[in-house]
Amino acid sequence: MTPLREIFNKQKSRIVTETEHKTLNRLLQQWQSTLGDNALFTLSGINIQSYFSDEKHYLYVNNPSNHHMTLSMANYSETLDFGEHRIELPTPSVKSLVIHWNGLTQQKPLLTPKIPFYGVQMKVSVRDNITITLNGPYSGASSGVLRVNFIPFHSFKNDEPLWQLPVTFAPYESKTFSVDKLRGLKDGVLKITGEFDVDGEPLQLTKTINL
Amino acid sequence: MSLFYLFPTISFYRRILFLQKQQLVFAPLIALLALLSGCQTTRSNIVAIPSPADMRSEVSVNGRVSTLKHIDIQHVGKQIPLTYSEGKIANSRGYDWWVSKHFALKSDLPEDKVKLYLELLEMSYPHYVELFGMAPSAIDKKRIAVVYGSSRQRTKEAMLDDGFLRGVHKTAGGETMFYNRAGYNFPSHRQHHQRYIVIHETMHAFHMALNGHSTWAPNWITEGMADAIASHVYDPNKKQLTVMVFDRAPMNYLHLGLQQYYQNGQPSFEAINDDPSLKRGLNFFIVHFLLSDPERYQYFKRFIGKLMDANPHSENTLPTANALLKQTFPDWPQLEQQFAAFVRSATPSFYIVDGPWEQNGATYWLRNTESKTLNRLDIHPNFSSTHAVMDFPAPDKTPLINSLDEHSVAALIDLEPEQSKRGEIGFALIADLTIESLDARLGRVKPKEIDFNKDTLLQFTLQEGMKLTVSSNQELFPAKSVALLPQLRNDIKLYHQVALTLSKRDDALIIKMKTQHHEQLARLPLIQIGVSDLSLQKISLIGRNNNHRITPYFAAHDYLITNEQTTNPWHFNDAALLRRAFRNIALS
Repeated sequence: MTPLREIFNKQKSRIVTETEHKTLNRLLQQWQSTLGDNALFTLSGINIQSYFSDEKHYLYVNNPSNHHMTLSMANYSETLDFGEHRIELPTPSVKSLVIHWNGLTQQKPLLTPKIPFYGVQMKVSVRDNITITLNGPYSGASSGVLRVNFIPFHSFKNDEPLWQLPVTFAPYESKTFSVDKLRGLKDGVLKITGEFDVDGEPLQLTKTINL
Repeated sequence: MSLFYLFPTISFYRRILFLQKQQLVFAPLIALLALLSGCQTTRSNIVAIPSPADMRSEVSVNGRVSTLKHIDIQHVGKQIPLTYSEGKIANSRGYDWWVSKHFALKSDLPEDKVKLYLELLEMSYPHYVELFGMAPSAIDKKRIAVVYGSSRQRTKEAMLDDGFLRGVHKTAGGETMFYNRAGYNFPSHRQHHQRYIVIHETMHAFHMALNGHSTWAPNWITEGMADAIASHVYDPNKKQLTVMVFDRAPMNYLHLGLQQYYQNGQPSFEAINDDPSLKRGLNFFIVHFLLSDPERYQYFKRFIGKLMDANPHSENTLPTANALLKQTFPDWPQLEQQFAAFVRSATPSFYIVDGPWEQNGATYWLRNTESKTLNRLDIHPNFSSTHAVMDFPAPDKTPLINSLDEHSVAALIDLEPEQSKRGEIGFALIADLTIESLDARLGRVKPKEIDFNKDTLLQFTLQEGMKLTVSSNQELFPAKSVALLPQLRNDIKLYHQVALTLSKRDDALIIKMKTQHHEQLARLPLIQIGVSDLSLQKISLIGRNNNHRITPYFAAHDYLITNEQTTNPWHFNDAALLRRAFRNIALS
C-alpha cells in the first residue's frame, strides 16, 4: 500500500510527476504476474455491462487500458481497442463471454433477463380474454386495485366495473391476470385502470382499447 | 450478415450526414402533422429528434469546474424523445420538448431558461459520471428525462399527465420519481435555487438510469451526493459551473451541517447512515468528508460499487450499507474519528446575516427591492484551514484593483446603470463580533436568538453613486463622507464600474476609488477604532435599495484552474490508472 499512499499524498499536494505514472504501471505489471487470470478485470479496468435499448439487447464494453482485448461469445470474436464500445447481442442471448487481455483470460457469465425490466408497468392485450400483465417495482411494498370497465359507443351503461381485483405486487415480480369478460362486448371502449400505492407513491395507470 | 453490430464511439460521427438528410425529409412532414393535429408551437422548424450521438456537448472540465464551449440544443415540439423513462412520460398542456446530447427537457418555460438549464445539465454531466464512477450504459441512445414547469401548479399538472396522483411533495422544490426516472422541477424566486434544483433532481434521475432505481443507496448517498453536486457556483458571463462547492454564500450547507451536527448531539457517521430521516447538512458533510481525501475517495468508490452490486431492497438499504461501510473501510473507528474532526474543524467563510443574496461566480448581489434595510453578507475566510475555502474560481484580475496582500482588501462594484443614483453598496470591516454571533455561524446557537446588530462594523459604502461614506453601525463616530471627483462620476456613468481598495498604513486606512480612467485617494485616521487591530480579511458585504453587483477580492483567494481536462478533483491525469491500481490492493 505504501507506494499508492505516497501517490495519494502527492496527488493531494498536486506534485505528481511522471515518476508516479511509471510506478503505477510497474505495480500493475508486478500484480499481473502474481494475481493471474482472476485479476483480469481489476488489472485492466475493463467494464462490461449488458443492457436493453429499443427492445434490443446490447453489451457496453469499456476498455480503459492501452492493451487491446478480445471478446468472444458463441461463434463470434471481436478485438476491441481502448475506449467505449457497444455491441448488439443476438436473440436468444448468449450465456457467457470469454475475455482475453494482455495474456490473461477470464469468463464472464451474462445474467441479463430475456426481456427488459423497467420497474412498474401495466401491459394489456386483448384476444380471447383480457390479459393484464403487471410488473412490480425495483423496491418496496406495493398494492392497489385493478379495474376493467366497458363504455359502449351508442348507449349509456352504468359505470360499475366489469371486473375488479385488489392486488399486491413485490419488487421485480411479474403477475398476469386473465379476465374472461369479453363475451358480448363490442362497439365501445375497454378501459383498464390500475390505482396503486407503489412504495409509498400513489400512481394511476390507464390503458384503453377500442372494441 | 453478422448478427452483431459494433459501433465504437468514432462511428457515431460517420452517421451525421445521413441523419441530417433524414431531418430534411422529415421536417416538413412533422411540421405538417403538428399543424394538422392542432399542436401549437411558436417554432415552425420542428425537426426529427436528433440522435444523442449526433449532438455536440463540448465542456472543458478541470477538476470540479466545467466551462461550456459548445452545446447543441434542439427544440422538438411535442415529439417525445427516447429516454430512461421508458415511455412512461407523456406530453403536457403548454409544454414542449427540447433535447441536448444527454438530456431531454420538457418545459413550458421561455427558451432562454430552457437553454440555461440544458447548459447547466451538460456541464454537470461529467461530474455525475465522476461521482458514481460510471455512465448509464445506453446513454448513446437514451436521454435522461427532465421536466421543468413554470410553477408548482404547472409541474403538478405535468405529473398528473404521467399518472402521479400527488404532485410534488409539499416541502420539496422538485422531485424525481422512481416510477419513470424523471425529475420534476419548478422554479422558486431564488435564481441560485432555480439552478440548484435542476442539477439536484437530475442527479437523482442519472442515479436511477444507472441500474433502474436508487433505493439501493441510503439518504446520505442519494440526497447527499445530489445536494453536494448541486451546491454550485455559476458564472453566467463565462458559462462556467463549479460543482461540489463546500464553501459558498447562498444555500450554505456547510453552515446547515454544523447546525444539524450540534442540534443532533454530534452524530457519528454510522448514526447518520442509520437515520432514515433527511438531514441535508449532515449528508453534505459525509459526502465532502469522503471525497476530500484521495485515498478515502477510492474507498468510497469501492463502497458504492459493492452497494450497487448488493442492490438491497429499500427496507434493507440502511443495514446493508452499514455492514458494507465497515467491510470496505479498513479502520472504521479511525474513520469515525476523522469524520468528527472534519466536522468540528469546519468554519464557513460565508454567513448571510440578512438579505436575499445571490452569488454569480465570485460576485454577489441583492435580489430584493427593499429600500430601507441595509443587508449584510459576512465573508470571513480562513485561508489557513485544512478545509476547502471559497472553493470556486477567484474573480478575474482587473486593472481597477492593484495587487493585494493580507493588509489590504478590495471590491469591484458593477452598477446597474438605472439604479446608480439610489441606495448604497459596499463592505464593512469587522471591528468586533460578539461570542453569540461567532457561535451562530458555527452552528452552535440558533441564529434567530442572536442580535447581530451588536457586532461592531466599520462600514464603507458608495452612496447614491456620488459619495463614499464611512460609518460605524454602533455610532462610535459620526458618519463621514467624501464626494467622488467629477471625472470618476463621469467614468461611472460611462462604464458603470468602480473599485474600492482598502489598505492599512500606520494608524490610518487608505481608501482608493478607481474607475476606468481615474482614481481618487482618501486617508481615514480613526481614534474610535484601533486600526492596527483590524483584519482586512474579514468583511461584510452590505447593500441597500439596489441590485448592484459586488465582487470582493482577497489576496489569498486562489482557486487553481489548470489546462488539464479531467474530472478528478485534484486534477490528476492518471486517476483512471490509479483507480485500477487501487482495485488490485484487495487482491494482492
